[in-house]
Amino acid sequence: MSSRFEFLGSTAIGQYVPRDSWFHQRDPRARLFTFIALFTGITFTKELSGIALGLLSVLLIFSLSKVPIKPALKGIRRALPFILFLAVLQILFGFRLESDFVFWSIFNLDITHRAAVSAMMLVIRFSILITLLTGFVMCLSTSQITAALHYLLKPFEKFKFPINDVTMIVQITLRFLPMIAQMAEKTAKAQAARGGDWEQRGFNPIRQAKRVIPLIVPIMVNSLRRAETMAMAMETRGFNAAEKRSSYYQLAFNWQDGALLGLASLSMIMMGLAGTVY
Amino acid sequence: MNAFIDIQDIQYRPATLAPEKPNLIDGISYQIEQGEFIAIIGKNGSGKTTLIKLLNGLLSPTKGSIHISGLDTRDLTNSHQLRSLTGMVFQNPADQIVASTVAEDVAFGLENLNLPSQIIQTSVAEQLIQVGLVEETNRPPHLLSGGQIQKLALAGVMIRKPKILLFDEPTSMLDPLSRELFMESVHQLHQQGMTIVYVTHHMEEAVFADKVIALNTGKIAFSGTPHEVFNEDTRLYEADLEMPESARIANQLRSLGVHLKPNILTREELLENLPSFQASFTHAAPHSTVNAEPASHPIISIKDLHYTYLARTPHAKKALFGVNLDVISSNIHGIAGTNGSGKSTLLQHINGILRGDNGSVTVGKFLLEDPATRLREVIKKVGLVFQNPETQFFETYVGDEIAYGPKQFGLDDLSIRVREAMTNVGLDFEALKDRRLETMSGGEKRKVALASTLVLGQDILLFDEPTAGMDPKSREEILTLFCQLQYQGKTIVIASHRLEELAEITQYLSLMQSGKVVKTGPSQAIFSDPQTIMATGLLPPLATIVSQKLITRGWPIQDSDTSTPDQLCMALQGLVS
Repeated sequence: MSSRFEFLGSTAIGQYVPRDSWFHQRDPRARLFTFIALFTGITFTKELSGIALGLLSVLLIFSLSKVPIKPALKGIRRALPFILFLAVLQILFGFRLESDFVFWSIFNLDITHRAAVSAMMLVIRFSILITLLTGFVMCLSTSQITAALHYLLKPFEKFKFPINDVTMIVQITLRFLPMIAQMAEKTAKAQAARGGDWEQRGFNPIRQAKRVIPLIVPIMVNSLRRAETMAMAMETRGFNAAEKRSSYYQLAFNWQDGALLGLASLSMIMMGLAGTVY
Repeated sequence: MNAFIDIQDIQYRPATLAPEKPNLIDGISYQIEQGEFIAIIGKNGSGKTTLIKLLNGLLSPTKGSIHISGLDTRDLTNSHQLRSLTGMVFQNPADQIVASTVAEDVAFGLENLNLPSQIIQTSVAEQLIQVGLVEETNRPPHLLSGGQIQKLALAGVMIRKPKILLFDEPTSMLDPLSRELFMESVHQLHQQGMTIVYVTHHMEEAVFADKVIALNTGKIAFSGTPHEVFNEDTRLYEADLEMPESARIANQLRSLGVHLKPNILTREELLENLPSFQASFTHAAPHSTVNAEPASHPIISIKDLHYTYLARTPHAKKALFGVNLDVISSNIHGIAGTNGSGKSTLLQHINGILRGDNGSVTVGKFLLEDPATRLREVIKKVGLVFQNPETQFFETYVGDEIAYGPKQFGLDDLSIRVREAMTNVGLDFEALKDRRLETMSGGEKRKVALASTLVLGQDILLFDEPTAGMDPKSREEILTLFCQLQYQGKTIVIASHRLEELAEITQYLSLMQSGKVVKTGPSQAIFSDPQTIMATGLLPPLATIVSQKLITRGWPIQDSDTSTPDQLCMALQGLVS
């Protein structure tokens, strides 16, 4: 029986799955870029063919990296109520033309063919994006993300962009997320142990939301307190954002990384052009 | 004024402090030489942590000055050099871990020096070997054990090769074995010439220092060598401190007439100096057998319980491997085990917060393996106080925090219940009910946490490391409270790695190791078998070790019934002329 209190299990961050696959061996920068490219492509493609191409690319990453697909399906199932809610909104209030074919009408609401198709696209698009996100956290460790980000942002240093601060913010955020999950878990348990109603009985979003509210304040307060200690610890270990820092990682880029980069860009461009060129 | 660390009449008072409150640090002057090991002791809230934050310039004194190797800590232009000179290990090591893997966190301090990657990688590898964390190189810190996180924190500080190390109660989260190992590495650093300032609640750790400073309300109450400080009975008592356990037992033995050399402070000194039995054996010491318990029905019964954290995820971690445990009603039952042996996980199964993968848990009339058993019904019967409960407060005021439970169950007479619970733990209802939680001292917060569970008046009470991080006086008060609760007819289960405390109050004891209960029995029987205790990685109570040693030196005492200093003295009475 899985526990109601394992928030850590439900957070995507920190679920890195180290594998000895071709994809995992690629340079973190190439991997990060691949995910960014696919996210962009899938989000902005207009046609079903583009989405199909996106799905194909995502499945290719899963097979190249040998990570399990099951966590992704679990993620989709968890998000499904929200996606369906968005789909309903899309059907009811989405963009429409006078000439649209109305195939169903209840009360004063016309459900057009266009709205139905776009709602369906929305569901598929979100499902693929969730799958991709799950793949992302399983294929890149948090430290690889920050190291890659630092390099990808480097060109902006010339424009006085504070890349040290930004990477440090990302790094600390990634470090804090599992900590916050653990903190939420502890507080929830402490409340349950004193009679707080934490029992899961069926699907009841209002009840679920009501349960989360009393957690928010203690978690914020605790996070701030811990952040203060961490800031102090960082200071005692010589951190100063204004000064130049080096990195533990030395990243090496080879032709295979280049190939991955090329493939990812190609896939993104194809998705973008879907419906206009082919 | 050429001392390595020169503290000149400092005061510290944060700007936000209410005017009626005294200064946090109030007129301290002290000189520390290079290579000295200074221990700072004092009750919760006496200013220890503030003092060491002043030492590395995290705080700046409101009056007076501190010079470290000639550098004024008030001068911000010195901060870069000061950072390289000092390293600090915080009380809760998890809060000072910055990065998301072990190796990367150790590297952090060197990245800040802008060193090339290769050099950082080599130093990190060396440092990880030195602290024994090589196998964890790529693990995320939140999945490490308490002992490992503490090592990681030390490694992250040591890699910058500081000259002064500041420790803030670094062992309060560690079990005895991890603590001993940690103290050993502190010793080594001291021998290599490191200057160490070490804040602690454990007098046993302070005796290894060159000098000890006892703080009380922001002032140095007294200071000197460990021998000088720990001979000051009355002054220790006035500052709510105590002598190290070895010294206390030595004193008790002396008062019985046993000949011991003066100034015994450590366990080793005490054991070495125990005399052989001299007097002619006249009469058998009164021999009390372990009470044959009437066969009574257990109120808690656990059979073959298994549990896995994060089951069915890549990070699944099995914590319980078939636990069997019976707890008999109206007893205090101790569960002892090292960090990570499964004590906390087990306790959370007894009140139904966690439900096992398989196996059965019966508590009173509840079958917890039955999914239809409602958690809230179980909670009415079983109370649980978590480890460090004061970190889980979610209300603002003391009264509200304690009233949370009764409100959830819609009980009436809230204020009467809260008053009763507060009185029970020794807190003044009128004076404290409207106080903000964060303004209370560590010991008071722990009492609020205890009251907020006791207010529900459950028959079965579970406590997870209830005395961790408490000063000697608060510890004593909490143990007394447990005895009162038992007197009221409650069944109490306490998870702890401090066996000398469990020896004082428990009737039954279970030893846990690697997710299993390896032994359960009447406490006396368990304590008379120190070998089994040590095999689980725990340290038997000092009184047990002393009595074992006395037996090998010919003293005609029983090895059961001597697990607390008082019992030991009872056994020895009449054997010394």
